Amino acid sequence: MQYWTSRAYEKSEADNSFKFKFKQHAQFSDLSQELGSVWFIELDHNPPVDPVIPKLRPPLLILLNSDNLADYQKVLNDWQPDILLLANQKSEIDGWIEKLQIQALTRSKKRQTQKTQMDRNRELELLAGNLEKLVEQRTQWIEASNREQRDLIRSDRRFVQFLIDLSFQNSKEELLNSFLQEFRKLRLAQEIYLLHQDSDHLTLQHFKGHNFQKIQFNESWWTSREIETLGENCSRKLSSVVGRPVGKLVVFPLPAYFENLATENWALVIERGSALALGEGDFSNIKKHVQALGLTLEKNRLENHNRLSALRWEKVFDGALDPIAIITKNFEILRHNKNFSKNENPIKKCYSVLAGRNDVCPQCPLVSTELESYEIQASHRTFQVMSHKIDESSEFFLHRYVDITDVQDKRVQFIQNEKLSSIGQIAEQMAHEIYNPLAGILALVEILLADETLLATTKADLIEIQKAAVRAQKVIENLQDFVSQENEVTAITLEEIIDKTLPLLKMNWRSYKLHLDLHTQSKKIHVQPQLISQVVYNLIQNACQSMEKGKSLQLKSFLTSDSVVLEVIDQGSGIPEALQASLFKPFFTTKATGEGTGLGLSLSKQFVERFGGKLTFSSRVGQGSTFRMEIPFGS
Amino acid sequence: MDPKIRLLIIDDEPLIRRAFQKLFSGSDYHVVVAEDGLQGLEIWQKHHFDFVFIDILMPGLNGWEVLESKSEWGSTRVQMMSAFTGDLSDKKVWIEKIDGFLPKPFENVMGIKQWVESHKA
Repeated sequence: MQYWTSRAYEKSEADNSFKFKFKQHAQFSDLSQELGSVWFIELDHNPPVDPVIPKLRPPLLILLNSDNLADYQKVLNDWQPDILLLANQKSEIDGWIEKLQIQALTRSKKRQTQKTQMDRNRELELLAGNLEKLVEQRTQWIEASNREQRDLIRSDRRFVQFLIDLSFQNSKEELLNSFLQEFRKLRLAQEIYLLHQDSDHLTLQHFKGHNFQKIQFNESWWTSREIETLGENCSRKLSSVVGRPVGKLVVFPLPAYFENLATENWALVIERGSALALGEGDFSNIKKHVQALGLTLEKNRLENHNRLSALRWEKVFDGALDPIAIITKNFEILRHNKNFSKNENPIKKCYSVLAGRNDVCPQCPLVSTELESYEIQASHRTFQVMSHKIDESSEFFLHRYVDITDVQDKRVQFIQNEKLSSIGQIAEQMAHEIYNPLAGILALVEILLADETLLATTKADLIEIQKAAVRAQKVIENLQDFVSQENEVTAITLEEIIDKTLPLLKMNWRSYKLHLDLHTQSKKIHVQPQLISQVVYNLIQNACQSMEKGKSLQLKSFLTSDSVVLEVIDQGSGIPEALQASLFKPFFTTKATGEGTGLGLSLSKQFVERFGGKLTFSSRVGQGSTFRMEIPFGS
Repeated sequence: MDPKIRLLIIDDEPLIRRAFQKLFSGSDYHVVVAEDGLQGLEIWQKHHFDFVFIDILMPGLNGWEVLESKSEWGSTRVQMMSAFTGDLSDKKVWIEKIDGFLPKPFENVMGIKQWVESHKA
């Protein structure tokens, strides 16, 4: 090895001087460990021929006594100094070293800056690299979690859609089929069974083709009542029944939602063909579905129950013979049955639909609440209203209308009969009290008239007395007939009836001009005379009551091909059109309360119809009315 | 021959009693009147009469009840009178026993006198 002298100088950070580092005969290889701290190197004589030239990068290289620069070429290439100094003597370079110090300083700063920049760049690169990696990581992570999210959403959406589809299915068959298809699509199961387990008895139901198949075993497989994987023996037993190999069976209990259902005995069994075990996600997915199944089964059961109850209620409601309606306190109909109204009405008022009125029925229970009973008129019938509050707030009422027309008629007839019988009794009493004196008068007058010594004037007077007594007697006789309780149908002419009835009304009709135009003496009608007499009485009385004094009242009777007709024609005020429809309704009256019961026309019509006749009228306001009674004279 | 024809009139109507008294005035007749059934019965039990006219409807004892109480009257002629007959179905026994029935008002008052005259003794 060749030795050469050289010296390395190091710059001191403290005072920017160059400190002699070392003088070497050593190999520069040692210097490689101190890269960066060598500032300049003096090479004396020959360049190092050390095969390993340390990697130094001295900024300054001083070559002393270097005759041939070419010899230093390798060194120069390797070390690449910034400044190369060639000197013959060391003394020459002392002064330069000082100058160099200053220059070196500058360069050092430049280097420093460069280094810092380079470091910074490197750091930045590193950072950028790191950031890139981070971003990539993050991106991957986000993508992964997005994918996960999307999967979850997709699975949820699918589940929701599945639930929606479920709600349209009403039968157990449809339900189980849907679940089976879903499980198959989700690869959760290849077959499902509905399991019912008693203490020692179990049933498996599953949908096979188009039918439900029930498989029963007299043993207990599902003992834990929790999620359980059944043993292989169960699979084998099932397999022997269904005639094909059966995979693993996992039981999922159907949740019990309602206390009174023994749903702890119910479960869904899934059959897995795949050997793969169920993952956690699969478990939770299946559980979700099983919950839905339980809910849906229960919902269907309740719906059926409700539907049957509703149906039953509908039948009862609609089939009820009485009209029934549910109304609000403002008389609006919410619901009604067929006997209330045959048509489906848009919301209308109850008094309009049932009774054909424009205003509330008098005696409506919604208006007057203290009455003992509420009776209304509708379609020519009388109804008693049974009113029930549906809820406590008195918003809704259930009204049942009981047809009491017949009862009413009977009641009216009964009252009528009672009246008549008491009138009859009074009449009998009075008649007796009056008849006797009359008989006495007539007897005595007759005897007096037999006296031949009577004065002519006295005789004339006695005759008048006799006539008066006879007239009084006739009235009593007519009254007797009128209130007679006898129910015999007799053949009698209309004229006879009118003849008996007119005297009873004399107080009424004598204020008017009475015209009689009667032409039916030739035909007899078969009636109960006192009833028709009452009709005639009623018609004449009404006619008189509608007229001012002095107007004319006509009674016309004539024959048609098969009937006897009586027309009572008045010149009264006439009947307004609005009232005409209600004229024959029971209790209809235009008189003030207490003056009339309004029984007259409705009963009259009944009496006439009883003998096959008709009672009609025509009327014009301002002109008067004509009431027409027609009775056939056939048998 | 009896000195007088004796008649008993039982009727609550004063004019009827008066009419009979007038009809049978004169010395040939002796007319006794009673206002009601009880009075009439008492009189009839005590005395004999050739003719008895009884009103049916009277306060207290009515005509039929008088007959029931008297039950036997020999050859006396009895006629019932009344404005109202009522239900005669259960009176058939008495209807057969009496001589006649006069509805009121009398159709022919003078005819009554003729009947009496033709049936006296």
